[in-house]
Amino acid sequence: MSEASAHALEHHEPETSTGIPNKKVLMWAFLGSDCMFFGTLISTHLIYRKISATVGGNTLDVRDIFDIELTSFSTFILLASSLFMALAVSAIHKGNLSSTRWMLFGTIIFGAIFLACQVYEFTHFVHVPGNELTLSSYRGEPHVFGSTFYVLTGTHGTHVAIGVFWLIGWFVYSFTGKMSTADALDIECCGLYWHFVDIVWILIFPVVYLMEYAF
Amino acid sequence: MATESIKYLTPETETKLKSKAFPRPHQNTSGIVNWLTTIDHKKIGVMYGLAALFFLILGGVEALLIRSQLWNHNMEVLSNREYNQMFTMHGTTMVFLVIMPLSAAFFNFIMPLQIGARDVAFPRMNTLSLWCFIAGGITLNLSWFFTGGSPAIGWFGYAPLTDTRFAEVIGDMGPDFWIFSLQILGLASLLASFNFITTIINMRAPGMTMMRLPVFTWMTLIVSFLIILAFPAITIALVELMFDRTYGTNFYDFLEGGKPHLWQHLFWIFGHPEVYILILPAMGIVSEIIPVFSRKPLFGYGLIVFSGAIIGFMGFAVWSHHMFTTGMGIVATSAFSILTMLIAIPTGIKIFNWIGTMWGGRIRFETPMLFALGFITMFMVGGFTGIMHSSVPIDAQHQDSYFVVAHFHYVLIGGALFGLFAGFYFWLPKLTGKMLNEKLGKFVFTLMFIGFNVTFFPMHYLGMIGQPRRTHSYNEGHGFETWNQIATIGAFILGVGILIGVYQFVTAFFNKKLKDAGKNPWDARTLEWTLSSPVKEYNFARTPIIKSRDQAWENNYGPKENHSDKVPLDDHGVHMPDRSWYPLVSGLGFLGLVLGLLFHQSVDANTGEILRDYTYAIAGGSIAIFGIIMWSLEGPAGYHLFPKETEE
Amino acid sequence: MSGHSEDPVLEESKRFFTFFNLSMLLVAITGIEIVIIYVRAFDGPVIITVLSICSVIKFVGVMTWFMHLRWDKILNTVLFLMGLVIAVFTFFAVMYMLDNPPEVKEFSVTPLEQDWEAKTEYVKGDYTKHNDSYYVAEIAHQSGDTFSTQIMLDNEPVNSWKKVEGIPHQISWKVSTGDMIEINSLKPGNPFFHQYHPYPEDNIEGSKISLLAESASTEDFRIKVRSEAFWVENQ
Repeated sequence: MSEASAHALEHHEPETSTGIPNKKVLMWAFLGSDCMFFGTLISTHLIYRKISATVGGNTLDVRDIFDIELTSFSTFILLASSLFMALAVSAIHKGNLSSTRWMLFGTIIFGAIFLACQVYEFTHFVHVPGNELTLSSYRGEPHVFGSTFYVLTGTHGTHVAIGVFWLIGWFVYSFTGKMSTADALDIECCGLYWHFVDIVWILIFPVVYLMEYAF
Repeated sequence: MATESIKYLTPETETKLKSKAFPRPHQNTSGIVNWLTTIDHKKIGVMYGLAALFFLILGGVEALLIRSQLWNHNMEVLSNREYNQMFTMHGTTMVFLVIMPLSAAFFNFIMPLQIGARDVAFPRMNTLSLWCFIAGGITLNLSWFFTGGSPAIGWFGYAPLTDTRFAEVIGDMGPDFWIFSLQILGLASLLASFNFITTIINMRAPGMTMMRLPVFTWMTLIVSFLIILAFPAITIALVELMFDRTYGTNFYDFLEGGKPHLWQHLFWIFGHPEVYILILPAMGIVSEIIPVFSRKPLFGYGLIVFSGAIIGFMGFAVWSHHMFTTGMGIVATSAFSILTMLIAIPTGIKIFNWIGTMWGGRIRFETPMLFALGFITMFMVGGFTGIMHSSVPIDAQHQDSYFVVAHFHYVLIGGALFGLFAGFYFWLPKLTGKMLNEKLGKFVFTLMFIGFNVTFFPMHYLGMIGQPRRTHSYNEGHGFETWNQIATIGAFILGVGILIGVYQFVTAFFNKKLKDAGKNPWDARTLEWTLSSPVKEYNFARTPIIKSRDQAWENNYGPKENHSDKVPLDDHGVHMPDRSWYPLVSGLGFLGLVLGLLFHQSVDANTGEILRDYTYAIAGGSIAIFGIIMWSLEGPAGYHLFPKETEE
Repeated sequence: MSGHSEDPVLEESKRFFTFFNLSMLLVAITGIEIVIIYVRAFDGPVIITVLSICSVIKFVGVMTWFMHLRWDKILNTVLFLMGLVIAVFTFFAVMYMLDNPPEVKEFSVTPLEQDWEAKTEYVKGDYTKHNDSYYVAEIAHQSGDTFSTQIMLDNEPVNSWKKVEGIPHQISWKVSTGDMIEINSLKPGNPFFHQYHPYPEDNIEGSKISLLAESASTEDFRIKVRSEAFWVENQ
């Protein structure tokens, strides 16, 4: 670290009343708020799953549309990316810039694979012959399952995409030579966001996908 | 704001990025650029306040049109649709563009001063909140000029009326404007609330423990938590509605598997905490004013804070009392009825504590106190009628009648607006350095008090004899005419009172004839009254070390050990951050995103297919993101100010 | 940044193993979830319970260790839990309120096979059986010593019993909630159909006396109750 930026650190990182940096308080408050966000979406999905369980006289059965192998695969991918993220945060706290960079890269790659699986799922489900699931219909009959499914998993996917862009920003920044342990807080906040996105998926996967196979 | 003790020093820190496109304006910026790029909480508070007062006039005009339409039976001032548009816009404007921003104005200006901070935790995000609010106000009012005009769906937008299937005018864009303006206003509120939470938790002066915080600051904290926990529900509800309208999903479409009832649940899960968001800031203001004008400390400080927190928390548990008549079933209805009755208890505790504060005090009836007393009495009336509604059988009669209109105007005007006006009269001297004209203030209060009661008290009776809400006219023979006419006259009196009040507030900044205020014209109690008026750019020359609650009072009247200290004067002076263009850039980007999404659809003239063109939306979104990225790379920059030893 | 560190490098290095182990645990639990779905050895509700428990474990694991709450100040946890608790509470409240599965509490079909008895009070509408024929009482009366379809009232003959075609059955039902009830017989030779919209829609109780061609009992009938989009039957 240069003299000037060390001075900058003391000079401009103020003492906080609780000892927790402002950005971290902000991120945790934001994640608390995001719980309500996803809670509402998951509630909507589950409510409709319960009360709109029939389509044109038949029970709703999406097992022909869902591809549980693919989704399980992408679940494991996301869990792995979470590990990489934790390791990246750990590395930056230790000051190990090279490790940080490549752990970030791992997170990005796995996050991108997850997104690719999601995109494939979405485009695929809409076109399964005879079993199309669209935003407004299921097998050609108007139904709400597609609406709740796509909006819920789509919102989650958007959160992942934002996370991936954020991580790419850090990855690129790591090559500029300006990265240091002074950035540990920011990367930690990025990590918190990424882990949150992971735990939301931990809830979505059983509730939306696995549950369809439970009965 | 510059004084001769300021030395300009080049920043000694390296910025991460020196941007040539939008360099950070330095300390000697002036004029309009100063206001457009400011990140100072005080200026942001002033801009919030001015914009909100403008919307107050606008919303008031909408209200007067409604009252004119109801002067007599079968009048034709407004057509059916126009009437619906009026009450929709009046409601949405008053809730989201007046009361919430006025509260935000006070949170912004006063709260950091009350905790001894130099600014909020994230100043540029604060500015972005302001510009998002302005963008939201613009978006909502743009609706007048496009297909279908303004939304005519009520401020609560119940499904399935909001579905395109039931549009009165083909291609009605009103609800779409409503959806997007609420989303961007929600963003503004969320950003501001995250900021305030972090500030209050993390940026208190040394010695300022949570239990020494002024009640107004406590209310800021509680309201901010309410906002961050309640707004996600309406965000999702609006997203689902937007998808229904634009992409044909079936969230609220009963013919295709959806449940309109779900909209009501999601809206009121937000909507009920929202009304506590509207009233708690005013309660905080009143809790500041009553002790000052009774020359006694607040009675039961701990209880007032605790009951504020309880009201906030329980506010999440009572939403279905807006839905008693929708057939939810016995268990749900009773549960919500009981919880609603329970929530009256902490509210009552606050009222008793305010009365206890005044008891035995030496009361001065200056304008802020008049409004505060008006708050207590009028809010009580509104509270009583609210308790009446909490009984389900009684609510079955009240629902959708003018009785409910009377109830919520008593709590919102008699409560929130009076409280906020009290805040203006109390704190404008601190902002402007000038005392407001006391006689004119009392006159404004008189007009408002009389006008308000003459307008809304008869509505209790009108509701009981059967006048329904949201109906554009009534026939002869019901006996509604007399009291409606009285109400309309009252409304115009109230309007004149508000207009004069707004005029007083706006001209306070320029009027040369007003007396100087000095530091503490009211002999008030909290930390902001230890500062000069108007407050200096840097707030506190030296960070105070707090030794007790009501620090200003203790400094003047308390024993020596309770007097505040100051952190020793530092060679470095006070570090002030530079201003920044990026919040404005991002704000414009968000406005572009919203407008782009509003207008992305078109219909192919030949095939009749819907064409979707997201170019403008993407451009707007990119600008917003660009602004945010650039501001995170801008670096702290800044300059230093060196106030004299003896200055505040 | 994490609140305590004499030697941040050592702290972080210790945590590497925690992270790795937690990661393996998460993978294992996810594996269990998937296997349970494939194997399908249990009932639906059991699977749901197991899935819920697995999810909660994973959720708490990531929250506490990956997100550092274990090692950070408690305020961070408080901020997050506020949102989580309110979301969970609201979720359960809304799920409960929008969930009205109807329940058939009682349903029975019994033939009214009361034989005619002498010297008994009968009210109008009573059914009785005599010599393999069924009759319904036309007026309230007390039966005499022998069966007859007429009695003397004020010295005028009045019809007391009227012969009916078919066997009277008492059909009664009790349902928790519903907006439509449909009862029909399952034997084509013994047709019966009754459909109505109950009001009020809770604690529905009803009964009906109906004449059927053949004797029938509860198994020969079906009651279907609809509430919201749920259908429930007794079969």
